[in-house]
Amino acid sequence: MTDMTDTTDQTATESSPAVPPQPALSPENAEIIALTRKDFVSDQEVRWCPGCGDYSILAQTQKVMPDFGYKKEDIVFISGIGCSGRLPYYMNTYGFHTIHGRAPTLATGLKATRPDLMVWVITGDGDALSIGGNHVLHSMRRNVDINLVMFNNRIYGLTKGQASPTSEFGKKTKSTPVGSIDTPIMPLTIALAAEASFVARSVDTHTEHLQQTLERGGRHKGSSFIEVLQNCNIFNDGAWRDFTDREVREDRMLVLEHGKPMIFGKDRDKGIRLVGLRPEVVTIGQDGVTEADLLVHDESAEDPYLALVLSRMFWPDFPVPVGVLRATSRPTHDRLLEDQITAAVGRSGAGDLERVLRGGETWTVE
Amino acid sequence: MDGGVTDSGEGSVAGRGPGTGGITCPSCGFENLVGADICDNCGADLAGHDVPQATVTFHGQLLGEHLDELGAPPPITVSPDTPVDVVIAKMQAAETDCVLVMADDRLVGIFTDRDAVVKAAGKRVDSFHVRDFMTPDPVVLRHDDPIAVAIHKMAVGGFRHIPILEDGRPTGVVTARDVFHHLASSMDRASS
Amino acid sequence: MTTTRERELPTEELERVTIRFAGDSGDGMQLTGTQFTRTAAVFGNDISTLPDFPAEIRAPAGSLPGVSGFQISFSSTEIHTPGDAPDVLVAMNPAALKTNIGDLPAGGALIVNSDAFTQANLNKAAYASNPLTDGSLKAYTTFEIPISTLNERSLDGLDMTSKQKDLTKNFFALGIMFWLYERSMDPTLGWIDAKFSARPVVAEANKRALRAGYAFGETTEMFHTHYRVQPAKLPPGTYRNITGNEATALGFLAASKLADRQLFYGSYPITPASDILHQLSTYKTFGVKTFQAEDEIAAIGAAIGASYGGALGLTASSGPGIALKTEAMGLAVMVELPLVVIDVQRAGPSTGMPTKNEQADLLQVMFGRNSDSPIPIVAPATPGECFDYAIEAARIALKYMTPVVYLSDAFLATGSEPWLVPSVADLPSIAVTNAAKGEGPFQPYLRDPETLARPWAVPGTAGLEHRIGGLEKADGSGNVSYDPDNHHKMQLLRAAKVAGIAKDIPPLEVFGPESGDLLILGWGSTYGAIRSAAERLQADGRSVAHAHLRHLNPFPANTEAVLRSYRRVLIPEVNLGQLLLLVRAKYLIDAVGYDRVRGKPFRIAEIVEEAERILAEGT
Repeated sequence: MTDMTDTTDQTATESSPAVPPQPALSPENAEIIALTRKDFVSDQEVRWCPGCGDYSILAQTQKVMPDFGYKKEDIVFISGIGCSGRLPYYMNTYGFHTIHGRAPTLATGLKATRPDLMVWVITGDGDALSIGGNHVLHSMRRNVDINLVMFNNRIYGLTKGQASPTSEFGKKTKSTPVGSIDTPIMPLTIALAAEASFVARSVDTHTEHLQQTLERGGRHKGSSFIEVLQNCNIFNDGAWRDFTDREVREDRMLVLEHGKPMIFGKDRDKGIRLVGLRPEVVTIGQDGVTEADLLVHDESAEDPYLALVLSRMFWPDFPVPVGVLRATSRPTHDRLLEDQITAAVGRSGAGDLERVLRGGETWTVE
Repeated sequence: MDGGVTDSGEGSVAGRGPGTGGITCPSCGFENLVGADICDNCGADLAGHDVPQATVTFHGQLLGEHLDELGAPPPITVSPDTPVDVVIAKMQAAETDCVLVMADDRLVGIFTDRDAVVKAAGKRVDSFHVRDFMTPDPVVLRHDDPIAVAIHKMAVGGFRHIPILEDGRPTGVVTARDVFHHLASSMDRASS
Repeated sequence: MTTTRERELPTEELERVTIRFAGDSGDGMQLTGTQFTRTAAVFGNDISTLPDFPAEIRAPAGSLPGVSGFQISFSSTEIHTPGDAPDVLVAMNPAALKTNIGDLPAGGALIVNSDAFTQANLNKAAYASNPLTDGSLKAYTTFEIPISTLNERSLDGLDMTSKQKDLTKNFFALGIMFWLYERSMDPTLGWIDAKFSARPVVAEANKRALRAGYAFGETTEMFHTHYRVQPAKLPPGTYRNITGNEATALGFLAASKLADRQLFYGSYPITPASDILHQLSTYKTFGVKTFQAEDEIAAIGAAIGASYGGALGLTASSGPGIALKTEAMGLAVMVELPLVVIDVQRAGPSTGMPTKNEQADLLQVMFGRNSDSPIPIVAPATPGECFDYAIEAARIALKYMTPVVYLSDAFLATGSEPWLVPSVADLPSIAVTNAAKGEGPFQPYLRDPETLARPWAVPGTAGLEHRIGGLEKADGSGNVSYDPDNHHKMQLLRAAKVAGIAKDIPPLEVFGPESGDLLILGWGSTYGAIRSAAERLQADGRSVAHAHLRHLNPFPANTEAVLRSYRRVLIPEVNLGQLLLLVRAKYLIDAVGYDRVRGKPFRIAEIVEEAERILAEGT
């Protein structure tokens, strides 16, 4: 089986978003022997199907890990059930392959008691949005400081080809032979509705962009929701090809950059402007449209309106936005928990077990 | 089991005390969390105290007082084949807004000013009988039924008049207006 | 205290008295009951209580679902139950009388607040006629006391509204009972001063009401005797009153300290376990982190995640919630992490009767997971034991790297008894050490030869990076393995690990002869009734013993030997024969069950009767 970790279609044609170099997150970065990607490769033979988009995601994840400055032993990967669930076995870190849909719950408990760890939750469209929907909702709204990466391939791959919550209406699969009757949901809208403080999207084969997005998500303090459009070449090949393919992606995808107007197209001549509540694709220079008329991306806006609009934009009606839709800040769950403990101890001193055992009223028998 | 946890101080919840927006114990004044069953300080049952209460005396009056209290005057009665214009003339003469329709000694219907407007107006009132426009088989009550029952029936049924029967014979008609007067004077009494 | 006339009233000495206070939710019956309990405890009686909370959150005043009750049994000897039936029923209104009179035996004493027996209240209680006048109470000795009126009168001159004065009538009732049973008012008077310091007028009113009730008892001609219950000979030490839920929360707090691990509690509100969450939430000064999850599964998931990180993970629920947690419990079995799952059992199936007692989840926690998925089970027998067995559950979880189920129930959770407060210094350490980097690559499933536990490698430990999960593992290396022989081996190892705990738990003790005609075997909150029944049977010369299991998986090593020492084995249970099924299946002993699933604890008398019936059957 070929190791697909070095995909050869890395064409660095898309412009990289201008993100200034960030300091490493761990306080002892000065003394760590610099880790490399190789340190994160485990000894397990990778068993995904040849051609699976997961190989690329694994490779970018391994590449990005050294950049955070965390010690290897302080990084944990927690996964659910699905092909994505195998990822922790291929990372040479602490890993926990849990039960279907529940990875965010274990991550919440782990982060609450071990805020010093960097916790990644690896999940898929079925694991996160079907059985796990409730837990995604709550881990995001609590702002648990986890990096949730959802591999969206619009199908249930591991169980061999059933419809998923993101499968198109009418999709024919093993479980829906005459077409799915369920309207698909849009994951980024869900993440925003769940008050996730960091919401982003990237593509499995857009390796540099994926790396950058994973890095930004990892650095973000708070709940990070990263949707990775992934290709399942066995059960749903080409689900995203219409706009992710090298030939067309510049014209059909919108690379978001904070502070910059929303421009796309091979010739950089198309843009997005807002008409009322709706986005509209316009050609710059036509009908008097200038760059000044275009929407300027603001990922740090406190309110989610712009991000919500972006989350609804999809091919073929719109170019598909990729990059960081939202990156806001509020206290994390583990921080708030810890603060309450500190405040309580500050008020009343450390707990006295003898006293608590006796409670309020005692009497003595001689 | 006397709220021992809070006594030790170890288990106290921060922010308790006056002005924290909870439910004040009516006995000891301690601020409990909203919805608490038992006061954390003194153990008094709080279950009876956070339910909305009716203004007790007022409520009691409506349940305790009977329709007799309203002093409805004797009703005007007509027979079913009385022409409608005659009935309306009677109502105008007596300055009343309704008549009871009796067949022999039985109450068979009620005709009110509303029936006159809604059903009869615009028609040749002299060529119809009151039986054509009356509301047959009206809801009735007894003289010793509580006022609250009359209010309930009026509210549910959407009407303003209820004939009162004693031994099957109508002795009066309770109107919504009578009830309002009574309520108004009761409220006056209750607040003073 | 002065009296208006001196009366030589005979004082009858009783070994034990059971009083039930019942009234509307707003009448303060819980307060009255707990004050009487306190006073009896301070006096030195052994006590046992059973509160009976209204079924509805808020019911209309005076209605049947709004009745709140409190039964207290106090004694000069050691007692184990709150009493089969009350000797005295204090009914503050018609609804309370209606719901409780059925439990008062003929000849029992009935004290009613006659002021509350108005037509309106009689209607609300669905009484066609007034029981005080229609002769329906002639089987009892009834004392009609206008408590509301007398109480109000005693508060003449105080600046309070009628309604406020009425709130103190429960102290009047309490005063009567204190006189009747020769209790000192001093503890309650002191308590009033402490609790009502912010409202001196109310404090004064409560004290007056209490004294007035006492004085009424003394001066009225209604009562022809008063009673005395001597202090019991309890082991010396410092005592407090404790309910099962309180003891459970304290037990796990103590366990976390004894294990030197952070306590993480994930849970979801459910009757009757919610109070554990409420109580643990107040222990922030101990670093306890409580987490109200979005559902039962998230609660246990978070607890497992916390254990993975090296904390002591804890979650609690009742039957329906445990059902939701089962998949995650299976994960905990497979990844072999320490975890305690508390089940405060209640009547089922499904939503069942949330506030009523039952012990019918034993088979669920024993078997209710896919595949053979063994989990150790402990079950405290009394409210006080809830503390000790919390520590025991944590000890087993940590030492053997396994989830453990701790079975409590609604009766234990809300009932209370005096508890000899342990000194922290006397409690055992249950700490275990985390794995450290050794020679060669780390093997997460290389087991300790004695306990068969795997090493606890906590994230953050350099050099021990490894992956665990729900898929089957190779013995030793912990890699995912589908090898057929490996799976068989691992199934046997997991089972052996749990079975091996039997060498590490105390033997089953017997109360009574070491062999004989009948052994009554129980578990959980049936302890009190069975013990009392055994005492009675033994006093009647029967060859009967009582054994009570606290470890239900594995059973203590000597269990079979004990059971085989008696000709018959009777297992009374508040379920349809669950321990019975386990005992019969495991030991092939022809034990018989006695099942009563009424949402209430057993009465001593019914166990005695059943035991007599079996003894009469012969072998």
